[in-house]
Amino acid sequence: MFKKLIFGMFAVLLTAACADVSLNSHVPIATDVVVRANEGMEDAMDGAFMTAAFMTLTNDSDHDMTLVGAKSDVAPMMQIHEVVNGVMQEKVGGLVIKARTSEMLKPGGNHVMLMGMTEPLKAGEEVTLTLLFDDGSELEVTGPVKAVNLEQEHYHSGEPSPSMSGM
Amino acid sequence: MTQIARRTILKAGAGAAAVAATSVGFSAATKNGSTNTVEPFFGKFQSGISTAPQEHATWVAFNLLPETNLDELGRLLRVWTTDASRLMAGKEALVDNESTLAIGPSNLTITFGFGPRVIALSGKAQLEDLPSFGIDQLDPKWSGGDLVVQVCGNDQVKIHHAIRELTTDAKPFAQIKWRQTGFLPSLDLSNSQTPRNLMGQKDGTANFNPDSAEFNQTVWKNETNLVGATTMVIRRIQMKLDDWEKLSPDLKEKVIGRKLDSGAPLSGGDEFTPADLDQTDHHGLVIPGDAHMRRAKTGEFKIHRRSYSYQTESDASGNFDQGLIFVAFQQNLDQFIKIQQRLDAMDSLNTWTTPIGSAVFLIPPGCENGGWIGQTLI
Repeated sequence: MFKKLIFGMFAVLLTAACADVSLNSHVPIATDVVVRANEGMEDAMDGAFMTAAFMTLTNDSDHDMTLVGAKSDVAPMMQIHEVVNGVMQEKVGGLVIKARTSEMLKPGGNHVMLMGMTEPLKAGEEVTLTLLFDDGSELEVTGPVKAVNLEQEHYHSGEPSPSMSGM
Repeated sequence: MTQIARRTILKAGAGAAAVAATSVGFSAATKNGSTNTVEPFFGKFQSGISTAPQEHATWVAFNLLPETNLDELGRLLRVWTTDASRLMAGKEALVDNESTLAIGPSNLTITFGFGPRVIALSGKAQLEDLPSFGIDQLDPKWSGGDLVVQVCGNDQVKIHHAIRELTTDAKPFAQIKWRQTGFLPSLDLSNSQTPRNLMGQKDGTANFNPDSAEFNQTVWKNETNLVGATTMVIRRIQMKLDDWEKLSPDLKEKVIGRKLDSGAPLSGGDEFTPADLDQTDHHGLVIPGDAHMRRAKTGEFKIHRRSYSYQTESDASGNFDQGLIFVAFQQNLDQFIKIQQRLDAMDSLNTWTTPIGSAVFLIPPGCENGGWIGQTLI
């Protein structure tokens, strides 16, 4: 469906090619990492900023891996989210990346949610995130912050937006 | 403009205007066929300058928002570099608005440039706007700009998509000043011939082969932080076709100084034969004194032209406009200015053409993977 480009929204993106790739065979390879810029997008209720990180995670191993969380200096709280019927929610149990497959974290789908930020991320900055997996392994990824045309509702849980249904 | 023979017999002492000669036709006028053809993004030079002309082009100029400083501009350029390198490779931009449109880049090239105000802010180079010319009737809506993005390719949808993505990237930093689109004849590009403009003239005959030493000397800068940089002039030139079409073929050829069909100088030979400016017949000079090609010859000053035709949609009265988006690359703007001053002073073609837009940009060098466009200046 057509995205409505009503809100001049920004996003942070983590670059694919430049993303750090762990040599640990139990950790997926992250590419096309990007974080959405969120300048001017503070929450009306508490004044905090939130945003999302997107990437492709490729599991080259013969074992399933589960992304259970993330941490970063730029956000005190991070969660793995999914979008179900247009409603964003925490993905219970984390995101499973099956053996020999890739998972795309993208707008309208699974993503890493950054919350409770006191400072917004500006387009063109670089952000480093540490992805946490269920076996205790970690993967550090770096990518650019990028302005993105997306509806703001997409990043607030609860109210489903009819225009988001196809995303 | 400058008419330099590029395929001809090297004739010693043929005059300053007819010096450079190469043995092959202009390789830049080659249209590569496949939708999957990828032009290289990374390298010493930006793409879209020595690249063989593609069928379509769009230029978007931006003005920086008041709060955008050099640091912020640097951040935009990092994002632009990432997305441009991906789009040229046929890969979606990061968080692409419509990723399916990135597939099949069709020789897409993306070129970034800085206007005089950005160069002044940077302090690491010099770029002044053009002097005013008597023939100019410039409209601000086609003129100036702090940044420019040139996107060329053989598929308009890919160009539109790339512009869409790059404009989204720029939103926090800059607003669009103007946007222009142009096109070239497929036939000429397929046959590696000089593309014709909307007056039917071969446009760009004097260009050097991009592989030649003359091209390198004409186009690329050598200063420390500018190795591989160049300058770009974009002039929107309106054509008064209603009046032009009333001229007899003979008169049209005298205005230009060249045969319309072959592009050969009226003094004889083929398109790339050096003009004999002194040749006379019983009427006088064969190439008239005010002919465009005679006036454009400065001898020492050369430029590389990469122009496109334009047409507008109709206005409320049913009128529309057409002409040439004249694009020239040269080491220093002075090379263009010297030629343009001669044409401004006297050129028969001025009766049928009017510059209505004008902008100049410094095109920074290319970058390697991991670097970003403009890193030596911003």
